[in-house]
Amino acid sequence: MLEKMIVLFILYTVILISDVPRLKQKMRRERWSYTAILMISFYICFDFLLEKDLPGLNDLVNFIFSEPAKMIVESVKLPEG
Amino acid sequence: MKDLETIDAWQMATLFLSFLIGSAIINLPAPLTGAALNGAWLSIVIANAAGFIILYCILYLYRKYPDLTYIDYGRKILGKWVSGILFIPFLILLLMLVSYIVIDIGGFMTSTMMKATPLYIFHALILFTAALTVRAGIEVMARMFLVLLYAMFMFGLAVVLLAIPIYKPEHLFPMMPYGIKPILHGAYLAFGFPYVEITLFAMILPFCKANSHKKLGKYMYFALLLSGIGLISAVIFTILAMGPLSGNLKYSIYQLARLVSIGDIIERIESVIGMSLIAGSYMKVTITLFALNMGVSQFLKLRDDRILIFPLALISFLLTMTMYESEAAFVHAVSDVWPLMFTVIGLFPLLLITFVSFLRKTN
Repeated sequence: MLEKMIVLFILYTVILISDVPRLKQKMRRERWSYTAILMISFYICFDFLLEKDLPGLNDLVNFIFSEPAKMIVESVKLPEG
Repeated sequence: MKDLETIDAWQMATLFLSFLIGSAIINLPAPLTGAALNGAWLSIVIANAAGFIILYCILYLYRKYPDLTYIDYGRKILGKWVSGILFIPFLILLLMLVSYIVIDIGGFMTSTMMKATPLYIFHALILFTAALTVRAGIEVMARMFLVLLYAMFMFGLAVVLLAIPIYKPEHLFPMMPYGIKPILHGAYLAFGFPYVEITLFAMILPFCKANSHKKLGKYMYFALLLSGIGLISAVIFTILAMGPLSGNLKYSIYQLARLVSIGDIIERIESVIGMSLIAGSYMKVTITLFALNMGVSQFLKLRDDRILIFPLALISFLLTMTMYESEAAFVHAVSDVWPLMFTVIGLFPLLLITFVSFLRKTN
């Protein structure tokens, strides 16, 4: 947990030090977009730190595509053994 | 955009080849021979042919709208709402592609070369480097990747030549012991990785110089053909060396390099292939991150198209660390789900836009 927090702290610090001065000169649309993407990153951060296995992209993908993909692969796959 | 940064047709083809060959030459042979056995090269031929059709669509749209990006002409042809519905999943798909490539590199490093190093070190470093390269711009990418691509080809060529003493031609036969089905399975795999992914070049082609338009098609088709030859060679040489085992050993070109031993002088050259994998995957992840950043910036109509690079790289990093808990889940996602998902979310919009655009032209 501590190790992960340190990693994230370093990453966010590097990114913010690099982008905040530039962001101050940007239009509102740029700032909002940037903030929105950071918000999304906080959600995944939470999952990364606490290992809560929160619903994510892969769950959505699996829900939609996993079964049809399995059917396609099974229809052409070599039999086991 | 075109006034700011442009590259010529040859450089665009280099980027295209880097993207196609990038990580595929190391990652593809093992699962492909596992699925299609000795007929794996036939699977690549089928997938490569499908790649030509996709490239034809991309070039058709590029010739029709040379000054517009994929997002722009998608909006123009399909309207704001329909294009929005189609492009949001496409951009998420690109985000996942970035993460998948990085997971691949991390998996390779921690399972072969640096087993005790934490995974996040590789993921963070590769994404940070890719983000810095994207920030440097497409001109820098094109110039740098040319050198890396030549180095990759030279390393690969050196390994397959040095491995000549261990090749056994009889390993190549029988070619289709179980009929056509395994070949189709292999084609499904190779189509999903890397051929259907070339769809994202619809986002990058408008960066080609205006005076290079005529040569672009020729060079791009040539690069696609060359990628097919490269992948087929990789598959054939691994089968020649390892026979039926080549489907079971991960990173089979890397394993092939481990077998090279000439007079106790030239041996342990697998690190060279390891470096090639890192370089290849780095090129691919950079190109994908570039396309993702351009796509998101244009979709949100931002004036500064570089401000989102770091946050997008950060999200990709976090996804690499949280998406898959086991290797089996990742393998299922990449080999089974990915080809279908990219075809539906990535290829379908392109085909739809091409079809509508063609109908409008006819009318």
